[in-house]
Amino acid sequence: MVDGGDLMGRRNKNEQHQTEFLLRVTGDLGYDAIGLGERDLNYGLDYLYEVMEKYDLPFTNANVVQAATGDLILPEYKVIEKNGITFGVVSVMDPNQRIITMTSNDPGFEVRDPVAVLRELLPRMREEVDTIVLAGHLGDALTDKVIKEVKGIDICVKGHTRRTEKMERILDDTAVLSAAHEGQWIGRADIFVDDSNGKLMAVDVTAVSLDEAIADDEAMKTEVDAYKASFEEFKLAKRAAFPRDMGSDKEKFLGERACRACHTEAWDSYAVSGHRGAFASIRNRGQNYEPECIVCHTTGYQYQNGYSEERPFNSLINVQCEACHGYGSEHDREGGWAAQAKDSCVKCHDAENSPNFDYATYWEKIKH
Amino acid sequence: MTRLKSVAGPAMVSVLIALLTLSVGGPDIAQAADEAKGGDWKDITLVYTSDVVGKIDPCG
Repeated sequence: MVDGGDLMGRRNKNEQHQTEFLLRVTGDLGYDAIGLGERDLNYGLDYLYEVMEKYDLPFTNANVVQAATGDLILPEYKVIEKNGITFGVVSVMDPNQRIITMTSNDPGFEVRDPVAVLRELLPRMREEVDTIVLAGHLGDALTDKVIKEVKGIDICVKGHTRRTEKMERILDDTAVLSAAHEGQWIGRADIFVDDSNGKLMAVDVTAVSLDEAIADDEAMKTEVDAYKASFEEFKLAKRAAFPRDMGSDKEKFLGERACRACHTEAWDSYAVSGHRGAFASIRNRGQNYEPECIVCHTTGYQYQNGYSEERPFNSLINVQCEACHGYGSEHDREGGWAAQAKDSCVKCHDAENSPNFDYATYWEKIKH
Repeated sequence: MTRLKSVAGPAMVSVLIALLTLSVGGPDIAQAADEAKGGDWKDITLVYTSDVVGKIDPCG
């Protein structure tokens, strides 16, 4: 079994939680090699090493190195013996894909030219293996370029493709196999290898759609159902620490544009402030589903009718006017506002999250 | 089954590439295996996936 990379989810804690389950059962399935996709570094290199060890995941890659040292971050290739044939599985990634990790302590990465890397590596592999399999995390166009320019790849399991249908073809001497993303299809290739020289002679491919026609494995279904229940509990427990019970269900946050209609000068100050980029700052770090982050990067998260992921409350991203001044509906009706400016600031600009906070200095940044 | 290379003899080094699109429901495995029995071919099954992107259930 070979995977073409991008096994892991997006950069947020909820998806990391789900990914951890997926990795555990992937380990149980007994993959022989897993190519590296840029997503597989989403949670950092230390995490990748941790799950490789914990779940026996055979990640491999030949063109991603630590920028400072030039050392490969993963085993260069995997050697697998099956039915008397020795396979070498090598993986390379598209250098144009950005590696962005959720952690701040990762080394910088350099992704080397896959053609140059494979041209140097394949002759060495040939001394050791009969058949070469490329788990190429290269997308469509670059896969073709690499196969044509490198030569000597017997089978390519193509990754970084958004194809939703199966696609297999022969390009030069290489059988190019593509499984659809999100695991919608599983590819099965019965390959026939010449015993005398290890050359791939024929291939017979079946793409299996994992729809209702495929019966669930009962043991796995039980495990998945149990996980889903635990994941809901995980999310609820996180939310429960930040209950949405302050304020009144009779009041409404009207949103920043309602404020702008009358308070143009205050709006101008807000529009260029960090408060208006507050949500983007956590989204870029994959923290936009984390209650402990959302509470200070949105408006009214712990208030009734305040920010939540569901419409229409999801428009209350960022630290809008009403985060400090209170419900707009109340202001609209009664004219006053609730802000106790200094008190509002320190709810979020506390010692842990804003250790350099100084009221006079910070006020100048948002003065209105 | 898509045959990639000729097995006619060592002198025939060029490959006979069958540029056939492999399709679901194509010739079955048993037939391919029977054909392979004539030569020194070994049959190995490769199962492959890609771009699972953390999905336990695919979208849609």
